[in-house]
Amino acid sequence: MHNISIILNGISYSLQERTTLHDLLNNLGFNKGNIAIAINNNIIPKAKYLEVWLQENDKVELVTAFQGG
Amino acid sequence: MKLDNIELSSRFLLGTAAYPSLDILQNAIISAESEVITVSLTRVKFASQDNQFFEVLNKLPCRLLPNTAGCYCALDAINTAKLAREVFNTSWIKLEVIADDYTLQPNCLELIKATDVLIKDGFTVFPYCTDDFSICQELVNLGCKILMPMGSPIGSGQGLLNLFNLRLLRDKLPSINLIVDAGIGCPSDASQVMELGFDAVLLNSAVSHAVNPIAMAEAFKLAIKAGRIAYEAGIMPKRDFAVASTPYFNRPFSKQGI
Repeated sequence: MHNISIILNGISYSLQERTTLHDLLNNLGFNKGNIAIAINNNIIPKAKYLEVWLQENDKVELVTAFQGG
Repeated sequence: MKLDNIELSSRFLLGTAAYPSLDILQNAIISAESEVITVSLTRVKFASQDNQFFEVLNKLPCRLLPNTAGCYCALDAINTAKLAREVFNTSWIKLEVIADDYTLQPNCLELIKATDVLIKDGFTVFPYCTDDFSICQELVNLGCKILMPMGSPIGSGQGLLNLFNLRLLRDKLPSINLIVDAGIGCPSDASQVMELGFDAVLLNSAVSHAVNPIAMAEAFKLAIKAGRIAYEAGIMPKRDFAVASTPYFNRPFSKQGI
């Protein structure tokens, strides 16, 4: 199986092709309840994480809660 | 007070940024008795999967109001709002679209564009806006039921720089929830906002940058309550000259007989 490269929070990240968002979060060890994801500026609803396959050069933003005013 | 049909007993909305520690943040919120606190988003750090801030949020009986801080155009603000809805599971959004770094004033044109899109997408928008009546009216026309005009620049602590405009907003928009956001420095500023008939105050730096944030949170809580009670009690009109409070009739040594 080939590897593909994505930009994850601004940093190049390598993963196996045919990886879903759900797989990515599992690999990273994140609880999906506390995060949100945008791919190429499109926000992906949590219900879609199993269906969305990551593609070469996808720009992925993975965000969580922070203090704010 | 009702915000978005939610009954709240506190009129003090508090920001969660820049406290000396998470423990002080938590105790300041408890001391403030705030029921709405503002939060933001950050990229996750891959080195640690735990988010201690989330643990603090989960302990507090507060509604969350995520912001779009750091956005300079409508598109970024819209996308940030949608991410916030996913993370915090709320349709409330404190919509900030900043014009420039020096003043941190709102970019009203971009704010209006983003407001239009987000309201149509089901968000309850709390726009951080200028105190300009025409801009505020435009936001109301788009469907905003809550407006958050600035008192003075964010984090400046300069208080209320344009009382005339704030008073005008209260007079012209009686059915809109008006919340002063930004620029509050000391409890008397907050009290003055409430005496004008504003519905609530949102502040952050005035508490988080205090020497004792927990005590300052309590001071603001009391000032906001005092200001509201004074507004409801009816503040006497100002007069140009003295008016004696003690009746002169039948004073001792008066030349006037009974």
